[in-house]
Amino acid sequence: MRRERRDALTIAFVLLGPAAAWLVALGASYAVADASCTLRQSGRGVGLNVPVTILALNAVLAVVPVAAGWVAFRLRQRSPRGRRAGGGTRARAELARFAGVSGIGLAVIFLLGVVLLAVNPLVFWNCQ
Amino acid sequence: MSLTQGVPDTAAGQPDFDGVWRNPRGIWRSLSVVSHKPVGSRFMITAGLFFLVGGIEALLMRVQLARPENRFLDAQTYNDLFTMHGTTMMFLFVVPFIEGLATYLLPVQLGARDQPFPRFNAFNYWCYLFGGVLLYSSFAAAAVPDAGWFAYVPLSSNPYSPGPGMDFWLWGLALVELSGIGAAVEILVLTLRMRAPGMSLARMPVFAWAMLTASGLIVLAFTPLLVATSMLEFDRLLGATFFVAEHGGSPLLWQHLFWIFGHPEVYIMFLPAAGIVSQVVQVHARQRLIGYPFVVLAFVLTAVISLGLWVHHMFTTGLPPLTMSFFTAASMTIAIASGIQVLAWVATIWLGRPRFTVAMMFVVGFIVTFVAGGITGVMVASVPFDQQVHDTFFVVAHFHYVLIGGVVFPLFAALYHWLPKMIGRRLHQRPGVVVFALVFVGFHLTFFPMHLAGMWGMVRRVYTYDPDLGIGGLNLVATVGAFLLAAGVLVFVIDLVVAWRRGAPAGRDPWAGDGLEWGVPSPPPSENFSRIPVVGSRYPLWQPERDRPDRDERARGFDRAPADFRASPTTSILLAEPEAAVHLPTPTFWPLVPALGLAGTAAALIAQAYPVAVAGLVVVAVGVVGWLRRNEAERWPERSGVRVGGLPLDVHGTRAIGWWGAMATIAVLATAGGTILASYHFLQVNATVWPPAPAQRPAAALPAGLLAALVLAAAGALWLGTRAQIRRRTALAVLAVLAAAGLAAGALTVGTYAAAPPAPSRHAYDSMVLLVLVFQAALVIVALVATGLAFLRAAAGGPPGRLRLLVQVAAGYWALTAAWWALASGSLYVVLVG
Repeated sequence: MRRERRDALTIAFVLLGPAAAWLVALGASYAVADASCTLRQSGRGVGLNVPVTILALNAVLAVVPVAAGWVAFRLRQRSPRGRRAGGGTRARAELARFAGVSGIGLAVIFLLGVVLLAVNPLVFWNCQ
Repeated sequence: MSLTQGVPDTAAGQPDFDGVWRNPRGIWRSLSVVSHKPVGSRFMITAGLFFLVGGIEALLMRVQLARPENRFLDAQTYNDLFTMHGTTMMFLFVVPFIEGLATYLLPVQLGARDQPFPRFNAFNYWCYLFGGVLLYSSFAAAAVPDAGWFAYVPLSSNPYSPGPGMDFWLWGLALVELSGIGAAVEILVLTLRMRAPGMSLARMPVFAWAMLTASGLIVLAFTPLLVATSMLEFDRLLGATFFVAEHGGSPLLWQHLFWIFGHPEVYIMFLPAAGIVSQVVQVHARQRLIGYPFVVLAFVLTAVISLGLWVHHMFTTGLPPLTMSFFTAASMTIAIASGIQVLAWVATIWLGRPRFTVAMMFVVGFIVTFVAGGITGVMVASVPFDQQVHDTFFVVAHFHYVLIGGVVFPLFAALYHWLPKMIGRRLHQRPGVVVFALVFVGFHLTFFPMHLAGMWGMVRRVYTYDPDLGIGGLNLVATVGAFLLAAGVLVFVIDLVVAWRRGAPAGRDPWAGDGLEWGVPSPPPSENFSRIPVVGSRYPLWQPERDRPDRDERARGFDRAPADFRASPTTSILLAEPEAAVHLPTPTFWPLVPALGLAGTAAALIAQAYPVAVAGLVVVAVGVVGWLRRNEAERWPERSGVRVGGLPLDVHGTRAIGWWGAMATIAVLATAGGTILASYHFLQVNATVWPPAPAQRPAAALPAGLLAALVLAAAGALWLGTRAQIRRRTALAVLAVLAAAGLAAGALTVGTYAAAPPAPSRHAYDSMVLLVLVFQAALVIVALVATGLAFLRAAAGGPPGRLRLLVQVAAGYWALTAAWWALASGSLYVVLVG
């Protein structure tokens, strides 16, 4: 039961962690950019360096897909050994392989998404 | 003989497995049916009827547009029709049909005997039906909604839509949304907790993965729309100013909230369609789906990215370029997910031995059309291009390519694939080919010319056009195509009726299929499986492997058992290890009562008959109490300590499906609360003055007291819920303290209102304060009801697991209420931007 719970948390992190990080990155980048532009236009600027803030925010959030990708890679590495065993180990190995492959893919794509958000204001920052 | 022990026999004498699962017959008594197959069928049939009505509305519009300056319809009727057509297809057809299909099919695919909460399932259907009927009763009241399916403000606000038309739209939709969210909760709990033993996540049918991701999206996307429609009704009914710019509100807030729902809505429809195609293609290509993990990855990717695309519907609203660039990037990224899926389907056909059945034809038609619609989607994700074609027929063509090509074609494939299982008879091949030809050719004739018409200047939502535009010929072709498409649908309906009555028997497995559904008779019996299947591979009928003999032992305990009540096993999330048995409820009329009450309340509010609305709320309360009483009265197997197949019935915490249902409800409420707070901050940033002077905030003592009462209630419930052993008297005393803390919280909510009553028509800040307090009061009421139920359970005695579960659920609601109020008071009482 305890092992199942630990595995559930690991797989949830691998499948949902990068996705959550990207969503937070998008929401926060949007909120910072939109709010600072709106406030600046109405003369209520908050003196925030928007490109640097967004870059820092996304750099921190990029850690999540990197970590999830590493965990997924480890899951994938461990799974072939289990496949040779029978019984419940086979189901566990199948699941680890499935989560590993899916997790690596999700980590790569969402990391790319976070990087795109981070570099965007460096080339495209204005409120007009 | 009953395999359960210590259980009294049924009133009739001997326990009877078939009798327990038998559904009532006859028109009146069948209204009490709650089993997933009849309820799923009702969803599909009702949605199918709405599809026909929406199609007729489309044909009328096409006749009007067949030539320039036509006078077949006047402008007002055209406005009515495009509003009702869009609303019908988006809210009353596609999503309910898909949820109906999943309601019918998923338990059979997953090896369960029913949905986790069958009575709630029936309630969802009644809400959907009454919502649709309420919306269409606007025709009888000569007050048809006419502000478009998106209901942009200020067009949908009182000054520009003064009659009750938009109220019909808002209340009808509220009921339908409630139903959609409820059905999604059912599917989430079913796919996570009620799969057959051995069906690990890695072995789950791909359609189940699609429905799991789509259901998560429904919870996250439908809820903001429910909040938005409530806010618009506040504006219309109470004179609130959420969307009134002169009073600190913002019309853009509506667009944000609507599209936060509206864009994921496209994928809520597309993901199940992709799941259907993945299932159909592997059976009809006689080849396992190539790249199963990558297709699942693509589902997760699609679901998540779709939540971050809404702004691309707002590229012409004057947003800063940086903001738009974020969403352009996200919009183009989703093409990666679609590309992965298309590659997987093409590879599966390529490597398989495809049979060109009608279902397969629709799959191939889908791939071609969806790719075309996807390409125009990437085009409109680009800001400069979108700004040129926004509100033209190019966009109409694009989204019909995605929605008909990407969703309706797969639904036809699903019907040709699974109808033999549902009705026990096969549809005919030749008429099927005719249906495909008419639908495919008719569709492309209708919608391809719209790309050109849009590029050449034909705008949307205008009832006629100038002959000098030179688009009369294109429109005539589109109208001819629409009638061909309609003829295809007509031939399908006729073939369906004929096959239902006189079709050749389908047999158990007409396609040599891969999944559990093909291992049961057609149509499946009421209990689906008299013996619970045990799964050892991703394709149980193609690779009937066994990897754990002990699972077979557990499942054997369910062989035609229990014979005294309905039950099915629950399994763990990852590996589907049997964990407990769930007691499933029997038919009852109770779910119909609150749905009727809600519909009556909505109708009375539209008619401004407020006493009747109050009576409607009383009916809701009576219905809920009756329903809960019936549920608790039927818990005798739990009280008797019965085990089925060695698995306990009386469980709590994460082993109980009730816990998962409550957590899903908490997720819905948290999403609603988050939407309200995000709206508050959006208005705060955009308003020139916030809050208006003088600030209408009550003294800090009331909110602080409220928070203290809520934290006390949450902590007490959490403490009680974690106690393994507790005396009945202690439980009653703690629950009484909890109820008192909750009542104090309710009183303080009212006190916060009374200390400085907000005037919603004065400023959007006041409107937000009112909304926050109303939502807070609703949370307190829900938590109090949960606490009251636990108190009654403790007072009546009974299964200890059930009592702990009820206390845990109450603890969850109190914790949510406390957390939300902490965040809300942080927003209301801490001024972030002066």
